[in-house]
Amino acid sequence: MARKTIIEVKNIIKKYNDFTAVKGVSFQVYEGEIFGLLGPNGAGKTTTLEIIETLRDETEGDVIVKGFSINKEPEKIKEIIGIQLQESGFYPNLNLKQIIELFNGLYDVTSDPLKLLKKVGLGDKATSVYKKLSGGQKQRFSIATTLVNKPLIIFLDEPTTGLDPQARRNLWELVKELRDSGITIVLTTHYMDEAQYLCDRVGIMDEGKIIALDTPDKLIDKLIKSGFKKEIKVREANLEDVFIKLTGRELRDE
Amino acid sequence: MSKRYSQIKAMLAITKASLISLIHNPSAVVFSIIFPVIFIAIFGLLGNGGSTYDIYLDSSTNKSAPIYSLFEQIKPLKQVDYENYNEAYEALESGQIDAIVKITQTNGKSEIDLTTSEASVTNGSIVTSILKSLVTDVNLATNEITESATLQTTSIAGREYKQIDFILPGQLGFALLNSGIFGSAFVLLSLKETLVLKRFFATPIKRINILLAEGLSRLIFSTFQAILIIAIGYFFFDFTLVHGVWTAIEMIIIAMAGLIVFLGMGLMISSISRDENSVAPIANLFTLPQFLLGGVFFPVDVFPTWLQPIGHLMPLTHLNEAMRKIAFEGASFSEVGTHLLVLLIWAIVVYVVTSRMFKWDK
Repeated sequence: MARKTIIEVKNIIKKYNDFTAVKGVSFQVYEGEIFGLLGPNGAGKTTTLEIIETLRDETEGDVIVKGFSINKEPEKIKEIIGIQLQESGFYPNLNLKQIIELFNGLYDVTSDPLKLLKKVGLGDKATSVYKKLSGGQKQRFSIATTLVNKPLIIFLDEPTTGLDPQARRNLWELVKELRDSGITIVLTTHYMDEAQYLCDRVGIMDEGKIIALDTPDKLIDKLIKSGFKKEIKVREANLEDVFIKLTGRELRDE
Repeated sequence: MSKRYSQIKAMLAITKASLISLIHNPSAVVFSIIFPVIFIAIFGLLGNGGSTYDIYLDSSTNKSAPIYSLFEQIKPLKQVDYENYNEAYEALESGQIDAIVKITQTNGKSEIDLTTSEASVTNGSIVTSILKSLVTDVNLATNEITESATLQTTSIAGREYKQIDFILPGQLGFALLNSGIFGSAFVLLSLKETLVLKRFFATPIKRINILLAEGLSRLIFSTFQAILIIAIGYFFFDFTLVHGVWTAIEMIIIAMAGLIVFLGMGLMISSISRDENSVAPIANLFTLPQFLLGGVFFPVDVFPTWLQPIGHLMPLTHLNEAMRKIAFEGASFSEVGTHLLVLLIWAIVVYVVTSRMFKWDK
């Protein structure tokens, strides 16, 4: 299946004084897929992401997003992408509806705040303050704000960190729904089960380089073919399955 | 995208959000409006009895000078008798009286000779203000109609320099200093720390417009702050606005000039501070000296001579002085030109320094 490339990362390098955080990273993201950027802390995931998002200048290289170069037309890119930052807050003392309205202004668009909130399951929280939301609600709200400008691509930086299993699963479904509606999604995560469940393709980064890039299944097959065996035989279920079985899939909003 | 992106709309969206946020922030409202009003109320009520100032009228005064009859009617000025000039002079030296006044008349021109003393600086400066406004009024009147003495008399007799006339501009100035410095330093730093600013950078708005939008919201908020404080002073505590609404508008224009300087200082502080914990001490470094020496509660002249130059350097001093002169003496912008010039120099210094130091990221 020939797929259209929507993001083309061309050999980007990012240096901070004498430290090189990203050492020549190249990859492509296809239209309509969920692409996962994996790797240990300090691998350069967030830096790479922020360079693509036009939030950080690269030292060398180029990124083409939907035909626009980050060096030449960053504003054009900003208009067609949505971004969720790791641990980002929102303008203080505003309720959710007012925050969405603020983003409407910032993007010069007119999205219906209530519709957007309903889409992420926060229809009844329009007049709540962001601070008072639960962890899962906060993440879903962050995702709602990435959708304000009806983006072609959204970037999610560790969207499920700190969430309980129910909230994580709930967020996974939301991300899949967005992918199915035609939005390309680039995310980072530390959870391999999450990457395996969500991502169509993953790139694994370490020490500023991409060291593997494929679909989760193919990466696993490759490893098995190389003669890898797990020391403990995998059982039919794991502790998370027990937890979900016992506490249910239903979302808890404390 | 066929439609052109509007920076103005994006800016106004931030301004609106910032205003909503300010109004919902209890400490912003308390510090910028409720505190100054409480101070004004306390000093306004204290001053309601109407203070008087003791003066000695030099015996060589020409009592037939037209200005003398006006002078005589200024209620707060109480004439005290002494055997001779020397005795009066000693009384002035020791602060028993506030001023010695001599009025002469030559070729139809009146001249008031005023002597005040360091022993009674506050009252002396108030007497000076009263007489200055008397002279201004007489000159204004003679410029237009030659025989306007009687017309002027009433307004002079009613113009009493009250405690509130000194306190209100000072409190307003101090409230603006706080709104400007704390309002911009804290908010900006917290927007940086919580990555709200970074999230804004991901939208097509230009960075400088984010700052302009925040500044605009402060200007709008503080205009209401100033209107409220002046209105409360005027309606409840008999604050003097010489030319009514116009004087109030002039005061507000000057107030906003001061606010622009203070906002710049706030920006500068947010660039110097490493985190939220260091903002408050650094901000206090800028606000406290101005609070104490900037003529908020006492005129700068009451301080020891070596401290006065410091007081005269501070932007708050000049903002307060300009607002007092406009409100009580009906001074024009050109008459408070020196004060405005000092504010302008401060604005240039502050914004040039800030533009070199300002960091967009943490």
